[in-house]
Amino acid sequence: MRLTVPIRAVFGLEIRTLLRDPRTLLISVVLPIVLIPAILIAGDWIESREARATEALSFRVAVEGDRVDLARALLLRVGDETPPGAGRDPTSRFQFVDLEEPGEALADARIDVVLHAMDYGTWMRGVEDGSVDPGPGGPPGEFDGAPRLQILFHSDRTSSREGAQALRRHLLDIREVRRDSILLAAGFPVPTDEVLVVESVNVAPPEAMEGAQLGRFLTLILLGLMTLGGSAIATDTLAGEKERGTLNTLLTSAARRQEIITGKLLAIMAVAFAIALIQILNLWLFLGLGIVDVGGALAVRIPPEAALLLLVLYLPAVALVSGVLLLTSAYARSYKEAQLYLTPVLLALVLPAAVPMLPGISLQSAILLVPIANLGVAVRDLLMGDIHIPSVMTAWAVTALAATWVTRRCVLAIQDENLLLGDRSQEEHTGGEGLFRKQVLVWVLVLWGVKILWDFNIPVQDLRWASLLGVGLVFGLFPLVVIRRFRLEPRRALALRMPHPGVWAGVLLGVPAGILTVLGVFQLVDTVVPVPTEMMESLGQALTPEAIPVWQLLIFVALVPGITEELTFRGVVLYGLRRRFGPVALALVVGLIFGIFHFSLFRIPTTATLGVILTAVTLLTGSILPAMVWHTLNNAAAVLASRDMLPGIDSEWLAEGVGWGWSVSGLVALGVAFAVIWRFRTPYPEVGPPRVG
Amino acid sequence: MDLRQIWTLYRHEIRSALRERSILLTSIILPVVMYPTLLWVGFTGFYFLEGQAEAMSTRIGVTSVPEVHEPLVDSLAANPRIEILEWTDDERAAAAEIVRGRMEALLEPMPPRDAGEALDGNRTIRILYTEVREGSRSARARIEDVTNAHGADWITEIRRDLGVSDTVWADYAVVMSDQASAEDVTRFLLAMIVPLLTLIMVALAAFYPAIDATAGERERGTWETLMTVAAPRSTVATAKYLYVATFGAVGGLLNLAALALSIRWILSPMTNGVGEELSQGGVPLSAIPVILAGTALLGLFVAAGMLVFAVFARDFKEGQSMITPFYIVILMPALFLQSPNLEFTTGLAAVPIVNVALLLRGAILGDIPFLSGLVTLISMGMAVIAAVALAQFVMRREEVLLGSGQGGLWNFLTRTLRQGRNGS
Amino acid sequence: MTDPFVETRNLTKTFYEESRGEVRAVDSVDLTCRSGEILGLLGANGAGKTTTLRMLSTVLRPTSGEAWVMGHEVRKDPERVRENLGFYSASTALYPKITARETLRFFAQVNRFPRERIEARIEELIDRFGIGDFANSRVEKLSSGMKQKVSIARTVAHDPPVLIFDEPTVALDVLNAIELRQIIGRLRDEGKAILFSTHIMSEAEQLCDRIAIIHQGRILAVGTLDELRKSTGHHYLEEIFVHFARVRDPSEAEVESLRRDRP
Repeated sequence: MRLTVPIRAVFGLEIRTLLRDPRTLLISVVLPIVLIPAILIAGDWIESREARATEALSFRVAVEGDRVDLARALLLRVGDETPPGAGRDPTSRFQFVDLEEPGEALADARIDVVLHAMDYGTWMRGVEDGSVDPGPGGPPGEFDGAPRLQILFHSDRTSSREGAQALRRHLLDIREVRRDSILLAAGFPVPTDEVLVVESVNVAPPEAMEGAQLGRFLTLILLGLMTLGGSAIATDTLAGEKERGTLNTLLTSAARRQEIITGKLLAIMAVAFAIALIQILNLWLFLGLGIVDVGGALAVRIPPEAALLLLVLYLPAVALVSGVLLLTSAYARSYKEAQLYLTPVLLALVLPAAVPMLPGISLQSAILLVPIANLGVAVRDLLMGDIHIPSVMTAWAVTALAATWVTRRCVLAIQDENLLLGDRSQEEHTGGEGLFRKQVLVWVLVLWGVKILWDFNIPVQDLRWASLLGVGLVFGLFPLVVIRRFRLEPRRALALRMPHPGVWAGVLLGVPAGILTVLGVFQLVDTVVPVPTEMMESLGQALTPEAIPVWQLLIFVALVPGITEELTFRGVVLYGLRRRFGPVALALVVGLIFGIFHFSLFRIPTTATLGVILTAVTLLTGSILPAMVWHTLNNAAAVLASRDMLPGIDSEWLAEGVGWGWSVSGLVALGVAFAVIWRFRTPYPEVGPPRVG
Repeated sequence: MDLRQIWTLYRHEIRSALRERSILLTSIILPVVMYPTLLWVGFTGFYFLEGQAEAMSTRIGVTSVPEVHEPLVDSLAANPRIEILEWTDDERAAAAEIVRGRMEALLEPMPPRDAGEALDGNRTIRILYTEVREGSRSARARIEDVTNAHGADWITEIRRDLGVSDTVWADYAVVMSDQASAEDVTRFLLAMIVPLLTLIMVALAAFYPAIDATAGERERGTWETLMTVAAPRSTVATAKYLYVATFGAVGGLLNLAALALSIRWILSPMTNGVGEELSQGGVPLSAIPVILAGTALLGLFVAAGMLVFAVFARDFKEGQSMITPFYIVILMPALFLQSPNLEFTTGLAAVPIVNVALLLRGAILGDIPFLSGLVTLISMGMAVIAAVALAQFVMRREEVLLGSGQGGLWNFLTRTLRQGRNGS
Repeated sequence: MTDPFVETRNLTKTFYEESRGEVRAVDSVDLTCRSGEILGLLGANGAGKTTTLRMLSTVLRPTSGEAWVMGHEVRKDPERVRENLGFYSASTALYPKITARETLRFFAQVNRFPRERIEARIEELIDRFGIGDFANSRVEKLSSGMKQKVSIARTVAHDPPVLIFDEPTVALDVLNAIELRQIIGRLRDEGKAILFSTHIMSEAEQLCDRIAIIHQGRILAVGTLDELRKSTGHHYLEEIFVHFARVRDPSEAEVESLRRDRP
């Protein structure tokens, strides 16, 4: 691409505007320069202060029980038994206090730890009558008959927690010493800690060690700084220009849209780079002077050629970040609006950059397809000496592609008449269906938020109640609220029409075919994103609580969702979105929305597939009824199969995966079912964007 | 001041704010959508990682092992995800394989060192691994565990032959007993997080309304209309102030609630699912009035502070850059709240903002020193009055009202002081 | 006669609104404007003036019909169209943080004015529009009269043959408006083709060589003031306008609203 004169002019204008805006400079450059080291210094100081405070703690210990003698002997007579190399005498940290009611004193925080020393018999009687806490995991068999030293503490108090740990370590160390002396006396030739000594040799080259340290958070730090820096100019550029009216001027000039966007994008990238560089130099300065210490991880030296390689690798990520910021600005109508979108956008950009910090992420996984995250992992691997060129190139290409797509969206956005002219419509005032169509996605988002908060925080043990409240109530109420709020016509909004009777044949054939197809999708998912067994088991168990009779399961797991979920998704959601997309896109979008309401990464593709099928049926028949029947039968089949009540079908077979042959046959049968439905179709009215002219 | 008039204006402000898309977004839609989204990301990330970990197999190379120690290898091999490779090549080749990630670790029994030689059959178990790789690190840990377990078994065998009985050997058992209930632990963690978050959320929630009530009005051109209504300016200012404080407090609480409902899962990929244990208990009911009062105090203070800064702004952008420093300053104390040992002393109770945070912490832990609580109320009350007085003083000035003032609060104060000095 | 600099044929723009359905903002508009001519577009607010001019400046795409600027079609060759025109309206603001001189340089550059002549052109513009005193001050510091001068200078920075003025006097005081009209007149005399939209009758009377009366998206009449007087029998443009509007849509309320729009 050539840097034409207009591109350079736009670039220069953006940079000049930023440099002449002292307040923005102050906030985006000067403030972080002061703030980041300040935070690090303060954090450092607090941490060392905490460590010193913990170090200096001494613990008040009360001793009780019928083996006080043993406890005291162990704790007080330690001069000759302190294990070698144990540092300062640990007993100096313990102060022993005599109390009548040590338990109460512990509860009132008057003392930190109670050491309850018991004979084995006392212990066992106590455990049996419940007066003694058996501790985690119950009494270990190795110690049958041995006295018990029970350490009582409060883990919610620092001094108590630390005291208990110190006491425990001390007691175990003494036991070690005592055991060794017993064994040595009996003729065992060596101390026990000389038996099968483990010697770990770290074979990683030192630069890989440093690289791994750095690689984990380099992407996050760099992109975080760049995003913050880039947003200083991005929010002001298109959104601010709309507000000030200069965009109008610019758009009537002979500059191409592509040139305008390129110039602005380059400006954002340059500013992002510059600000990140300044901050890193600043940090490096502080680290170099030894003012801040972050474990030396940042002090890794990167040779110039490696730095260049990193730059090339990060380039598409920076372009993508800048592009997303510019796009946000292009969609906002004013500076303020752009600023508001910024928080979620920043989050969406920074989250993938944090992926390399997660333990156990490999580039050869689904993460390869996630822009930014894939480059972050690639950089981490490169820094620790793992070079897998095809993966790195794929990662680069994926992110570069995403960046190109975003840039293209920006070009389209500044040509979009609706975005340019502002909102021409009257719906905000008149309400009604038009407003609903504009707001439907926000409502769906809010419903999603409510549903997820509900599901994750209100654990209902009984499946029947969970279904009735979590599904029936949520998805049953939503259409009602929406219909009332926007004064929709219920029959139309919910597509309550009778389809052609021939459709039912297609539905009956479609249900089993759909199940096989969905199972095929599940197998596909498992090969791309391996499903953890825990998840697999919980998916299986969810349907089969033995205590609930089958007919009830059919009602709560099949009928309730079959009706209410359809009312929401194929009812009002489809109705609200019908004007926005053509029929194919509409089926995909509504299907996907249905999928994301099932939260789990491994269920989304399968439920989304079902959602697409159900939406397609509704669009072809113009009625919600076939989808309701289909959905209900689908769930009913799952219930019956899990109870081995479907003739000839083994639940194991379904759970293990049906194999590709069956899935493909299912897909073919599904095609036939749709052919039947197509034959008797009565299409959903008013689908697709209204044609103008 | 006419309370009726204030109420009318206040209701007007609230109503128009609720119709303002941006404010609705930050104070209501964001909490019910953003935190759940983060929750979802955490949940998904956790299971994604779990699936990845399960799909990975661990290859451990083993050189020749004496017969006594074969159980060691057997117990490693018992794990279906561990694959044992007979390693015959030399150590350097193994190291290369490990660095390249084709093998996770090498287990190599070596002749024992120093004192260990005296025991027949004893070995030093050498483990080659790479610290860089997660898989390799966990393989090393696994081998070490298995070795220690096997070593204990082996010692037991020899010990019994030597005639040392189990009882003598056992000596005594050390048992830990945590007297804190799950609720106590949850409460302890909440006491660390909640005050901090309340502070951040209140400041965040007051941010946009503060700009909207000042710079926003100027941008829309409604500022002068409002200044010409029959109510005295102090009434207008009070209504605006109460509106910003309300949004700060209510928005802050909403955010807090939504975050509290999501935090467990948000953190789960980082903490390997420890969050699940936090499910029991929560903020004690008795703490809720204190939290409400604390949030209200914070809201009142933050709102006054932000208005003082924002009133000089001519447009949204300016307002934002004028408030940001104040925002950062009030969040500074958050750094020090990381320390669990910070005690709620009477001295600290005199420091605004920090004291409210400590008050909230105390409320959750069920322990507020009376004097500290009282000092907090007085100190915060005085801070609020001072901030409101400053706001009133600033808003009374003509040049500020008309928006012709140059620069922000700082310029204004220096200018006013200079004029004052010249005048006297 | 030479080819017109600007020509439209059946130019139509339809918007879709949720509540009202399809709205024809501009309906089959045919216009021509030649070198050395000011064509006035006269109409009430919302008549379609701005939409027509925005289509000519390629900011909006016509729904149907065609329009040419210096022989370039707006949909096929939008960049060349924009190279040949300068667009001025009350809503085309200037960048606040750059100086007047930088503004002119910027617009000459983005409009692809030959690079080697840019500096000379800037000096010429500064001289001609009397910008010299504040050429190096930032735009945000200028008074509205100064801004107006810079704004016109940037409109003609690349010396385009076609100029579009969309309600340019809306936000100006009387003296500035008079000065602007004088400048526009001089530009015409230099041979520019100028499209000038307004809802102010007197302005159209004074300035325009030909007047197109636009109402509800349609051109009701085009001609010189004399031709319009002859065909309607009215003398004042205001009466002529009401005459056409009533022929098209004889609702009293609309006429009333037109009266109210008078300054």
